[in-house]
Amino acid sequence: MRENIAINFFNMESFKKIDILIAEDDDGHAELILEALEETGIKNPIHRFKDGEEAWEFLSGTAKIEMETNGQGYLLLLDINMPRMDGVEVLKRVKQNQTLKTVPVIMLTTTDDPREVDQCYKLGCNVYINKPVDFDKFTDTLKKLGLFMQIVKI
Amino acid sequence: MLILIVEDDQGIAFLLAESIEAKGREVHLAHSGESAMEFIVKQQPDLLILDFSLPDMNATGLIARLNEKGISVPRFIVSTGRGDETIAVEMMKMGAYDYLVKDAGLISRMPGVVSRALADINRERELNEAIEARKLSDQKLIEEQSRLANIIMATNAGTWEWDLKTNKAIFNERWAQMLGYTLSELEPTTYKTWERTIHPEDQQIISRQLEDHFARKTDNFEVEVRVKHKNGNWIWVQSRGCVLNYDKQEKPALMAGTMIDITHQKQKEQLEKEYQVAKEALSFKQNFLASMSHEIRTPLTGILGMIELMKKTALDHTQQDYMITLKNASENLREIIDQVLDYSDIEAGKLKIKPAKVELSCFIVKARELFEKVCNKPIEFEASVDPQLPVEVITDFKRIMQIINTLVTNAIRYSEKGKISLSLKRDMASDDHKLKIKVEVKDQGMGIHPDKHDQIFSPFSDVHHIDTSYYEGTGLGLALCKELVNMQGGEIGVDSQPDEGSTFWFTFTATYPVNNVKETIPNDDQQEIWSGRELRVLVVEDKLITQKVVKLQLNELGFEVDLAINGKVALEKFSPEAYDLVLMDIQMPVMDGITAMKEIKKNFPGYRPVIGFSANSFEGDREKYMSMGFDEFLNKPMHVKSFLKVVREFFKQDLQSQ
Repeated sequence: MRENIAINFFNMESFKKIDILIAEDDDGHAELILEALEETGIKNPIHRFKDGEEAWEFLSGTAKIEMETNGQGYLLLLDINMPRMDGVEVLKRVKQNQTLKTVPVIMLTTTDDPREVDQCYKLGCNVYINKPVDFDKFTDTLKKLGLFMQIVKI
Repeated sequence: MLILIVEDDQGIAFLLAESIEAKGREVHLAHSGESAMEFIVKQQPDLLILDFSLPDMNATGLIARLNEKGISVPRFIVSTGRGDETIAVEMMKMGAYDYLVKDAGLISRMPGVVSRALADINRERELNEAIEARKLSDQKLIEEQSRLANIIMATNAGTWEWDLKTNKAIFNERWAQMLGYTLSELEPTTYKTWERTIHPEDQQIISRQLEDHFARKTDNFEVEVRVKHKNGNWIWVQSRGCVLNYDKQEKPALMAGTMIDITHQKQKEQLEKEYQVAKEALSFKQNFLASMSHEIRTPLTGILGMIELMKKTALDHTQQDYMITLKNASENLREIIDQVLDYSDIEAGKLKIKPAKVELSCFIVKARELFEKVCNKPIEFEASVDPQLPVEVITDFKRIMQIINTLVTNAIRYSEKGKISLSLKRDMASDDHKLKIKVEVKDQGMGIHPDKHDQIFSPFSDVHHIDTSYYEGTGLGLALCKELVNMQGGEIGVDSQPDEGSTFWFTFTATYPVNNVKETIPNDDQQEIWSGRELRVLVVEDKLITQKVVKLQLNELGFEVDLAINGKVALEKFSPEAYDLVLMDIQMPVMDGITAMKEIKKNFPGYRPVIGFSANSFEGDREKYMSMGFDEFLNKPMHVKSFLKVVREFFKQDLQSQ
């Protein structure tokens, strides 16, 4: 029953309007994430950023305007360790911004360090995924997030 | 004894001295009044032998001067010339012990007089000493008495003495005071004075105790009885004592003892007894409620089952209608019983909170399910979750859901139209490691007057019930919610006005879903690559992307990896010689990992290790899979460190032999 809701959600019109933003500096990991998304059957537009600063430039510019003017939604996947601006900083900025704070955020971590994960949750991230991205776990997390987003009504 | 002879005639002086010298006597001589005075002041002789006429003064003058100076005058014997009788009389008046005439017999008479005088002095001294000693012992007695009195006062005890022959009794002030009197109010005191204060029910205790004590069955007399205070109240006293004297016929003659007020003590004992009784009654009530509820629940389950079956039989419209009513009533009854059970569990401290990982969306999905099942009024349901909340949290799903269900059910019950909104919000103020979540259930129903807001969370107080009999409630629902919320460190409340709807809310703390299954591997000297001989690993995994990831991870560690897409392919490829280790996914199409593992174990007895690995595993899964026959079990996504640790364990010898 839960699975049905989630899968339906990814096919729903409201989800198709969502752009997926990935901030990941490692090409190998980025490729794995893209493949995993593809396997889930998600057809949404995907933007990849090389680091946090690039992602933040987009979020604070284009994405912000899109959200304010025509309600365009986003889903943000943030690697924690990135040059120039790390994922935790991007998360902090997103959650402090009145327009952007409703954007669901998935944190990508390489460790299970409870302090790091704890900090991300405290800042308002919705879920975290361990790298390298395991397909089963990734699908499962996306399903959970899908159901969550359906209720949040972004 | 010190004797001073005051005599200007040296010859006489010597003769006198010689005549009275004896053992224990010390004799000194003085030749003038002045030198005599000097000696008396310094040495304080016991006896003076005084010549009346001295060169510088006569004896009268000497005594007068001593008196003047405040010097105590020793005993003195005066010697006078013949014929001076008047002088002799005067000297006797001044205190002389005796007088002797200076003639030929003087020397021979003197020793007798001296001995007599000294004997008198001795007797006088002994008497004085005896008087002093007596004075001292009197003082001690007084001290002893006051000491005893102090002790009695300190113990706050009343004292009594009872002469059994005359029946007279002596009490102290405290004894009377305990009963609210002064001693003078009670006098003359007899045994009756005491007897008439005793509570009628306690009279017998006293006579029985006295009888036993008089018959020498007990060493002491001791009773705790009620006596009447002057103010009319009964007070508890403890009276203790014993027989002090028996008469010639061996009958008790005198008894004495103490009495203390033990009212406070008795009251405390009484309260403790009452508390115990109340506690037992409460626990009996709880047990009774719990076991009764269980007893009712069993047949009720039968009734509900029969209703379901009955509904499927051929029933006409009216009968169907009755069945629905019957079903609703039965379900309502079951709900009440479940609440009673939970409530008595909480009261008995038996209800435990069991936190586990929960998706927040489950609360919404389940609440909507309940709404759709229960609500048959034109009411809408909407729900929302704060996007800043995590997808999953760690909390007790069952208990939080129970509270939400109660609030939603109430909202439906007390609304006729409009909307019911359920929302989960994040309380950002909480900055510790706990996550604070606020749940709100808002309706557009009849509302509740602010005066009753506190009352509705108490057991069995349904404010709507008071207002109108149209609505019904169990009365336990909200009280139970309050207990459950309290148990989880949260708060519960309501914002409402009549006719303006109600917003029931509660808060609870949850923890972030951080993996606490930490494997502690010392990483200081342990290298993150495999350092033993080259090992070949067969990875059995159906998901291509997982295959890719695992192969990459294991290659990096220094293992040689071969892949199989399912259990069947794995069995075709497998031989104990070809692979040192098998890593087996559990769920796979064609042939699952458990079947494949069992086949390997059957065909190649003693081969190991076959390591299972799977995602979405729960606590206890490792034990479960290992009992099936896997040599080890790992979680997906696989941690390099955990994998290495396991391999090191299985191939310990290879590492050591290097």
